[in-house]
This record gives sequence, C-alpha cells and structure tokens, in this order.
Amino acid sequence: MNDASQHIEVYRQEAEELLVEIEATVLELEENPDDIESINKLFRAMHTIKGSGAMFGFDDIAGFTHHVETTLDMVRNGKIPVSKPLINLILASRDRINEMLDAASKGSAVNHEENENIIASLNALQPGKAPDLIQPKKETSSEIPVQGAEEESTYRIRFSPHPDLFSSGTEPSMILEELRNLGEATIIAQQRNIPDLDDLHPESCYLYWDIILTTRKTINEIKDVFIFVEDNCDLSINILNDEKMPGEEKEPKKIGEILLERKDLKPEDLQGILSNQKRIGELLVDAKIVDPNLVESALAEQKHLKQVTEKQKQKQAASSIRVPADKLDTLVDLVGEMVTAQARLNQKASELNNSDLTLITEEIERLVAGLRDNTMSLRMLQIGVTFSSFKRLVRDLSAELGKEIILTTDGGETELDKTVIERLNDPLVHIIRNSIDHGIENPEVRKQAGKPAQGTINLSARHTGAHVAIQISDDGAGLDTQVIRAKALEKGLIPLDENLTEKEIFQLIFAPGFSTAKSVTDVSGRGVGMDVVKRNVESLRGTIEIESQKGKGTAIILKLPLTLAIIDGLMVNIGNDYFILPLSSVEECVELDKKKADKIKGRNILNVRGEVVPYVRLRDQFEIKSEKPELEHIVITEVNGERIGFVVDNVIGGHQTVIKSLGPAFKDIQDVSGATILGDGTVALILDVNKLVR
Amino acid sequence: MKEQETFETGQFLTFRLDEEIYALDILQVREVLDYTTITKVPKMPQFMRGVINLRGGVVPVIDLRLKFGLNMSDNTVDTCIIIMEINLDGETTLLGALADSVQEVITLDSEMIEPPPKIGTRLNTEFIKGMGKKNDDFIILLDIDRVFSSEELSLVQVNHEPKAEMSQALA
Amino acid sequence: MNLTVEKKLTIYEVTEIHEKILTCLNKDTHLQMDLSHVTECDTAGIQLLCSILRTARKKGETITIHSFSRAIQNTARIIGIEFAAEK
Repeated sequence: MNDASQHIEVYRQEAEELLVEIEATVLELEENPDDIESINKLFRAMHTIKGSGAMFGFDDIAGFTHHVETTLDMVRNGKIPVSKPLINLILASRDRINEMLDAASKGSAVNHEENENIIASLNALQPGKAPDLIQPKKETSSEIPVQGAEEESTYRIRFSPHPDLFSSGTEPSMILEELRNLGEATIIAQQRNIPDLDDLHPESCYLYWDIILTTRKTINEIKDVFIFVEDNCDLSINILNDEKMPGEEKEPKKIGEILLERKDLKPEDLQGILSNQKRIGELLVDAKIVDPNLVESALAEQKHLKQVTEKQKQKQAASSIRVPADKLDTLVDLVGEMVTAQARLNQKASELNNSDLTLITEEIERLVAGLRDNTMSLRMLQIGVTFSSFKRLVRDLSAELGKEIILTTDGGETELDKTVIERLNDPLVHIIRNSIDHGIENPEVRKQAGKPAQGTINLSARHTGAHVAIQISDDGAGLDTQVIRAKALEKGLIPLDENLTEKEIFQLIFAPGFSTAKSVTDVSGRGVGMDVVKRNVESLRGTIEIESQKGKGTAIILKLPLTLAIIDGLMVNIGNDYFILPLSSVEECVELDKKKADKIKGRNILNVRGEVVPYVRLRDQFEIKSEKPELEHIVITEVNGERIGFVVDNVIGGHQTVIKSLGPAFKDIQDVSGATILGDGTVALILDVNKLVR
Repeated sequence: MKEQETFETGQFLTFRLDEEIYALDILQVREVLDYTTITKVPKMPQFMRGVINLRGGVVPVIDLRLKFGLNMSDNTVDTCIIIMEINLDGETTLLGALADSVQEVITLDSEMIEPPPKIGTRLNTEFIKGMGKKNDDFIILLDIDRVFSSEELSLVQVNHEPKAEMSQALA
Repeated sequence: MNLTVEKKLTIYEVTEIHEKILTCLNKDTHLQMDLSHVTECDTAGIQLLCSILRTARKKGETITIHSFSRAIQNTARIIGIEFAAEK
C-alpha cells in the first residue's frame, strides 16, 4: 500500500470511529439537552471529519460536514436550541456521512440531492425559525446556558510550536491570520531562540508567539483555531479581564506580574530584583506571618499540582493502539501452548525433586499465570458497547412503528470474548426487533391494559459461575401459548393431539419456518427466524431459553460459556480417568463419609452443616467400572443458585486448564464442555456442570 | 441403486482389520500415529473409543472394527491410529481410526478397481467406494466420508437413571 | 558578493538558500542580498531572514539586504515581526 492510500485508510477508520461516537453522543444529548460537553464533543468530531476529509481529498464529505459543523457551532453558542428536529437532523447527517464514506470506498456515486435536503433543513434551524424545544426531564430550569457569546473578553495566548511544526506541514501565518479574524489582536513574535546562521536548522521552528486578543468569540472558538496543531505545540490561553466580576478594580497589570504570569520571569528573580532579599515564603516565615509548616505544605501543594498535571498529560498520551485481530489470536495460541508446556515443566520438576529447579519452575508458573491473565483480558470487550449500539435501533424502530419504547441496560461492564460479542450481535438484533415488533404493544393498547404508554426493553448481562447470562426482557404482551400452538399445528410442526407443557410450546418458536406475526413486517420477518438465532447461540456453545407471561412480558435468556481459552479448573479423578471441573462453579470439597451420606427414600443427599445438598455419583453417571476407593470425595458446586455435589474418587487440585474443543464430532455431547491436555500429554475432559445437573 | 462410478487412478493407504485389507484415499490421510493413550469419553457408543492429544489438539478416535461389526481386539505393537481429514456437516475436521496395522501406499489404476459387490461383505455397501485387486488380494476401498458422516457418527449419549433421582432430589 | 533570491522563500527553499549564504560568507565577508523578486514567503522564510540579520548584527559581517519585497513584508506583518528599515 503506498503512503497516500495508507493515510486514506487511516482517515476512513478514524472517521468511522468518530461516527460511532457521534451517534452515541447525540442520543445522550437527546436525554440531556443541557449537556454542553456533548455539544462540544459533537462539534469537535464533525470539525475533525471535515478537516481531515478536506486534507485527503474527500471534498464531498468535507463540504457536507461543513454545514453540520456550522449548525453545531451555533448550537454551542446558544443560537440554536437543542430540539428534536435538530437531533434527528444530526443523526440523518451522520448517516449521510457514513454512506458517503461507503460510496467513496466502493467508488460509487454520491446522491447530492439527499445532501441538499439535509443542508436545507439544517439552514432552516437557524435563528428566526424557532422549533419546539426538547423539555429536559429534570425539574430544574430548562434554560440552555449561553456561553458568554456577546461580551468581549481579552485573552493572553502563548503559542509555542514544537521545532517540527514546519515539517508537519503547518504554516503559522495561516493560524495567526485566523486569530486576527476573531477580533483585535496584537501579535508579537519572539525571536530570541533563533540561532545564528551557523547553528541554524532552517526547517525547524524556533519562533514562538505572544498574542493578546480581544474578541467576542468564546475560548472554544479560539482553541479551534489551533485544533490541527494541538499535538505540535504548547498552547496556553488565559482570560485577562473577566467582565463577570463586578467591583474589581481593573488596574493595568504590573510588568513584573505580567512577566510572572507568562512565566518569563521566575518569582525568585522578581523578588531578588525588587528587594534583593529572600523569597516570599521565607520572608513570610521570618516575619512570623506564616508558620513554616504552612509554607512547606503550600510548596508541597504546588509540587503536587504540578505532578498531577504531568500525570494527566501522560494519561492523555497513553491511549490505545490498533492491533490486527489475527495477531491477537496468534498471541493467545502461543500463550495457551506456553501454559501447557509449563504444566509439563512442573510435572518434570516435581519428579526430579531438585530444589533449585523447583524454585525456578514456581517463578515461571507465576509469570505464565500473569501472562495468561493479561493476554486473555486483551480479547475481552465490555458488552456495554454492543448494548449502547442498540439504543439507536430501538429509537428509530419504535418511532417507525408508532410505539414508545425505551431501552435500558444493566451490566454493561460485563466482559466477553471479542469473537463471542461479534457473533452475538445478529441474534440480539433479531430478538430486540421481535420485542419491538411483536412484543411491546401500541401506546393506546398499553394504556387500556393499565400499563404505562412507554414500553421498556431491558438488556442485562452478568457472570454466573462459568457462564455469562444475557437477558433481553420486555414488559409487552408476552407469549400466547394458544396462538403459538395454533400456528404450530397449522405449519404441521406438531400432531393434533400432542399434549405440550408451556415450556415445550415456547420451544416451538425455535422451529424453522415458524413465525407468529400476523403481518410479517419488513422489520423482523425477513426469513431470519428464531431458529437461526438458536443455531447461532448454540454454535457459541450456549443455550437460549424463553420465559413469558401473557399480558406481562417476555424474557429471553442467553447463557454463554466463557469461551475463554484458559480457565481455572479443579482436577479430580475417578479410577484412572481424570476430569476437570470449572473452579468458578466450585464452592467446596468434602470427604464423603459413608455413614453421613443419607439415602432417604433412595435419594442421594448429604447433610453439609445443616444444609441438604443432593449429589450425583459421577462413577455411575459415566459407567466407570474400576474399583471404588474406600474414601470418596464430594465436590460441591453452585449451579443456577442451587448447590449440587459430585462424587469423585479424589480431588487432585487446581489446574490451569487450556480449553480445547472436542470438535464437530462431539457437537451433541452433553456432560462434557471440552477437553484439555495434561502435563503428561494425555487428555482430560472438562465437565459441564450445568448439563450434568439436568 | 448406486450409479456406475468411474474410477480414477489414485493412491491409497492400505491397512488391516482382522483378516481383511482396506484402503483409504491418500488425499484424505493426514498421518499415521503409533497407538497412544486414548481418553474415554463417557456414555458414547462403543465404537467411539475416545480422544487423543495430537500436538495440542484434541482428535476423536474411532474403532473401525466395532463400527464394522467385528469384535474388539487387543492392541498389538502394530496397532496404529490413522488420522484422516473428513468433511463433517460442512466443516473440515480431523478424525482418528484404529487399525490393526498399516501396510503401505499403493497406486491402483482404474482398471484394477471394480464397483462394490451387492452382497458378500459384512460391511454396509454404502461405505464401500469400490473393490481393488492387487497381487491376489482384495482391497476394500472405503468411502470415508460416508463411514464418518454425521448420521453414522451419531454420538448420542445413553441416558442413565441417576438423573431421575437428581430431579426428584431437587424438587 | 551578490545573492539574488528567486521568487520563492518558503520552507522548501530555506535549506538551500541557507547553504548558499554560508558558502558565500566563507568566501567573502560582504554579502548583498536581493529580495525584491520574492513573491511567496512563509514563516520559515521570515525565520531565516531573522537569523541572517541577527548574525549580521553580532558578527559584524556586513550583510546588506535590498528591498524586502511586498510578499515578505506581508508575511512578516501577519506573524508579528518588524524588520528594521534597510541598513
């Protein structure tokens, strides 16, 4: 890829990210119309898209975005209020820019008429035509604060470019010219750093500028002038006179003060020159005006503040970097193999019983564990991002169908593997669409049923033991078993006289070709059925269940195993067979005392500190024929809020388990969720506690 | 009724089960391993012996003798596992097959291959691509994709009673 | 020694011009620069001129500059630099 197309690709990726950010911010703004930060964010984002677009030849995009930017500028100066039409227009604009980006990459033409329409609507919002204000939901005043737009202020600006400013393609005269356009500017160039000809590097920038600017513009607008050189310079902007403080004497500043503020003069030097005496601090202490500790503490505060700002600067610099996903996969594979090799090392070391070797092996184990945890976390993403992306969907779709629906989310910080999140997206979209389309009723119908006109769809995610449970629930009409049954009969999916439980009837929804919508709207009935959703979820080795109450609502629950390649396992053995139980499900291990093990009416129950815990004999489950030991053990696990015990011969101990899939040959298997390679090279099976219990 | 298949000249790996010689298309054979510890997977049909570790990956191993209705035999020093690439429901995956011994790679010209007999073999004729002849030996060419189709592999677990007790205990 | 600067005095030319000047000064302590033909000048160009004047002042090397062209004056004004009248 040559340089130019590489830059273009970077621009496109960044523009796409910005568009995602813009959408989320607009939706936030809709809920909090007073939020100045959101408005500023939107403005900056559009500004960047416009500027970079122009730079890389995306003139269409730049031209169009310019109008949006202008509108947003007026919004942040209070000239245009935040209203529903505005929100819709910004969203529409965002979509347009997205389409133009797509068109650009495919080389297809741009629909200019569409752009014109939006631009015309944006212009119509400008002052003179007052649309309806969005009422913020708070009780407090609904005034959108105006950012001091009309009064003049004077600013001191110090603009110190880095030496590489010229090389980065920036011409300061353009920036300074722009500043002059904002108001009355006195610009002084500082030449003191320019070396003699012999030492001069002509392409480096040695100049810096002090500018005094009196303007009606806001500090943001001043900062905007420097937006593209932010990274290549040191910039400080200070308001010199604040009109909002009445009663203060506006004395012209003393030279010493000005020099101090500009940091061109050190306080000590000033003091030294003025009085040839000690520093303020010392003077104050000597005069017994201030306790020495207070001065020290003040100095400490000074130092502290300095450090804090340093750290903040560093934090802003430490952002994130893009990594191709397959590089990450390779890394994960390698770490997996390392864990296995380290297990073999451990085994060998314990056999050899060499204390030095054991010590080193333990250290390696520690390091590998750290490496493993770190690498696994790289692939984990918070599902909250996915959840948020659905807000737009719900908003648009419910509007389209004339329903009022709000999306609430819980547990957005729950992390899942990147691939799992990606593959969950389509199923979730389909389920939500179903909910909006068939689940939540019209506002009138809801009111008649005594429900609030606005329906709620709730997305929640949480870790339960070795799984992540994702629930999509609504307070809509719920499932009607009669309707489902009738439809299934109609489609010939069930025989006439079949007696089905409610759960079984719900399961019919997952049958291929099933759809109970009376009118298959464009929205959800496009041949993508719940059967596909189920298949997708199962391909992730998850389960999907439905709970519903007619008239009250429906909840769809997805359970996904943490497809992490490595988990903490508990190794057990029965005879010569070794098994792994996911440690996250395990609560405790106890010996199985033959006497204590009650067989009450033929059931296997154990009394653990007064609590009744049922148990399963894995020996019997797995039909293992070898001889039973005298003393057995029970591993007590927590499954879906209940405690169940599993009887094994011995509990060996914790084991870092690299999960290996059993492959498609075993796709129907129930009790086993995967396999792992032990230190001696043999295979141990990882048990699926959930399924074992059923 | 099977259509008359035309046979192309090809290379095959021959192996023994009991007294008979079978052959597999070399293109589907990944490698041949010595017998190694097989981890049993509970509640599987008998012919599914379990899984093995193949350079960090887990590969299932099938006992062809049991699949073809022969008796299970003891392992000898010649027993090996043939690792094959098969297509299972659209997914390419590896599968291992136990063989009493592996012979050699042979080339069979199309003239040397005949369509499978309708009767006379204990094997389901669906599994047989054709019959080859080499040096007085009859070689049964296996259609491995059919032997290991998902229906054939239908590894449905056998349910066991303790579960019923389980649900009662939880009630 | 005479040095005439062509039309452009920008970031793209400054390195070359800088070299030429140094070469000239090595051979000859008297340099005359003709800037009247400059039609395009940027900050880097102005910066170079600042360095020249500074060096001249310090080292007593006589550098005479003929006519700051309109373009140079313009840019200088914009970026807040005043060139003293012709020496």
